[in-house]
Amino acid sequence: MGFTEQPLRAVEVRGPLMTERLALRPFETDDLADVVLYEASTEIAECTLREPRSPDEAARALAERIRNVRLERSGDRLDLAIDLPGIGDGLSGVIGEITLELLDRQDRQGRLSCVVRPDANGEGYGLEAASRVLEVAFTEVGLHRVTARFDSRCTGAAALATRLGMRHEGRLVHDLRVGERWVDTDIFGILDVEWAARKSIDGL
Amino acid sequence: MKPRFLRGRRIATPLVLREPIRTERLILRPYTAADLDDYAAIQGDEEVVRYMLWPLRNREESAKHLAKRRRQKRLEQNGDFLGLAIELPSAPSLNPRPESGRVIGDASLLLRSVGNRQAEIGWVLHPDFGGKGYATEASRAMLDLAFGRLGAHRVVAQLDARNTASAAMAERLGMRREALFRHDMWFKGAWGDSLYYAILDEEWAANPLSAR
Repeated sequence: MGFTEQPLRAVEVRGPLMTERLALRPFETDDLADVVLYEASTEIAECTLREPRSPDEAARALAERIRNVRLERSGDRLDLAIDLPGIGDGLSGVIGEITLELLDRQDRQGRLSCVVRPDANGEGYGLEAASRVLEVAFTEVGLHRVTARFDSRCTGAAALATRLGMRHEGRLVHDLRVGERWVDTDIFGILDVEWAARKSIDGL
Repeated sequence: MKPRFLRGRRIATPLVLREPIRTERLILRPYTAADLDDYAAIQGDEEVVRYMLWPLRNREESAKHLAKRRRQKRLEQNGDFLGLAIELPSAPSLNPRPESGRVIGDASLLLRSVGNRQAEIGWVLHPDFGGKGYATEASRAMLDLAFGRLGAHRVVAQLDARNTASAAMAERLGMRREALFRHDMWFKGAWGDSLYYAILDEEWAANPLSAR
């Protein structure tokens, strides 16, 4: 077998990862105005297991994300802006963010999270961004398993995970304290072999 | 592990065991150097470690592990661990110059998160003493400790999914099966699956096994 002998590759994102409609790219300081908008959303905070952020907190969080462009060691995060190029006078700019965390380098475990601004929902942007990053996770980084974890009330996230081919692995009751309440978290997972099989079926 | 000053928040009253815990048939207590013979018999048993993260340890390695257990006696910050000897006073120790009854297993608590009041329980029993409810008896006392003195809101147990005996025991303790994680770790030469059990403070308080 010797799965673990297959080394994990260090991956650094410098330019944008392109999808059909989106550019997934490192954050920039100029993104602050867009980021402040969705960081204040309670709906998004709920799904990402934290409290809404003030403009100051959002600025600090952005500064951190700008640096998170490389996956090499356990605990590293890849934070990418989901950038929708403007067409006409429609919605454009940073409509959300997508994160891939390297949880355990040795066991090749990672975690994916994806946030899309409520006013950009329902267009399949999350699915488009997450599919691209899962592809990176398995084929470029070399992960064996990728999980997603979110507040169990966040049905949109569960629907997205299911559409990505992730399995619901469990619900952890009162796993986290966020503000003044106990949160149940749902855990979804997908393995490299499952992702590969899915791609061949979908003909992606 | 990170040094204490980097491990963040501390709980108001750290849990340090001053007195042994006595249950109907057992004593749960910190280890002593005199426990090595009994401890090495547990750590050197293939059946014991098959589904555990422990490697099979010889006497010398067991001695090192025992020394580490003896230093870990305080639950105060994230990552703190408390491992107690499960002593059966009615059984003779393997130590030719015994200072107690036989140590037949290990019962542990890991403080996973101070902010979220989460702890993890663990149990190990020498197979010669299986099937008599000793692990259940010890774990009941550990849950009382976790919810009572430590003030945990939730206690979890993680098991190898093939470890049906431990899963049955978690269920006897009233723990709920929350998750099955596929291939969440590379384990002794193969991908392993983990079962996740949990119980909340109010569930334990309502459980007939609880001391309250």
